[in-house]
Amino acid sequence: MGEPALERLQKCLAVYVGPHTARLSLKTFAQKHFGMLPNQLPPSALPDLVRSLRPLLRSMLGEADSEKLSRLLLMECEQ
Amino acid sequence: MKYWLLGAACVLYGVVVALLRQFDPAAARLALFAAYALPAVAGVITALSYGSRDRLRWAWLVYASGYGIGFLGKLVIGDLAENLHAATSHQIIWSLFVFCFNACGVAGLALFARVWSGTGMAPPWRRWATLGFFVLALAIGIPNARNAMGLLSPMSPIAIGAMASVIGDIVSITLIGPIFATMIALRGGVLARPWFFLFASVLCWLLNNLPAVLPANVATYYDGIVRPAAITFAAAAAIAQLWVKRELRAGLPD
Repeated sequence: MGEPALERLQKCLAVYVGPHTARLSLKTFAQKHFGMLPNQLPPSALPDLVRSLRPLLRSMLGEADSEKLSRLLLMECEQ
Repeated sequence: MKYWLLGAACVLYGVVVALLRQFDPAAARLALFAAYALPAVAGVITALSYGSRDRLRWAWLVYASGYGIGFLGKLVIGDLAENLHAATSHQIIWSLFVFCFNACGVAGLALFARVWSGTGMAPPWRRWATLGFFVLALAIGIPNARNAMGLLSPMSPIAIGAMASVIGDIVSITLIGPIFATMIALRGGVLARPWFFLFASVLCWLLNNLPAVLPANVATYYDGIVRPAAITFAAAAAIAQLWVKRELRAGLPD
């Protein structure tokens, strides 16, 4: 069995923003948008969770590069 | 590896300028003044790698403009020590350059400090870090202001420039707080690298403010290393940001 999608997503995000902010951002936005912890989210909610990260990525990387990174993160959710 | 080399080059530049001060002051002056052009050029190139709606584009552009003004000021009018007994018109021009250099530096750092705003999250202890650096800024800034006022006659054009520099330094040191918090929050990720160099730069500027509270014999050697390192670390931050963006683009799908 492969790695859960959430872990793949967190690992992929951690490469860019570091493990601490990757974990904290997923937790913050999962609670803000879905009212639950990230590991309680159904896999179908992960793309929405990635979309909620866009303002953070846009601020750090700029619009063009953050869109590319969002697409990569969405691919991690779909694998 | 290349990021370590970049950092080492900044320290080496500081050491070379300090050594030149001992053996060839004219060359040291030239090397110090030329250093201001590095973050100006690197910052503008990095700014252009962002879109017009990206906050960091304006942060890099304003910050780079400050160093550009600093470079121009050094070329046109020179350093503080060269203008202490200059004509009033020279002192006014020197003060104007110093004011603009500090205003751009503060505005640039304020934009960097606001990188988390509107994102929905921020390092929770960022405010405490800012408060801590504000206290430190006052502890360094007040003796510096007293020192400047003791050396210069109050309300002379050069004293106004010196005070603008002291106030700019207090705000800049305060803004180290959010930059430090960002660097720590992003640790372990590739995006932390430019923030590390930016932090190293502002930390060196902080250290550059210490001579007023240090013994005079220590301050002379120390200033030679710290100021060129502060300037070259700012250039390194812009270069690291550009490298990180290029590496990301290479590794991300179109």
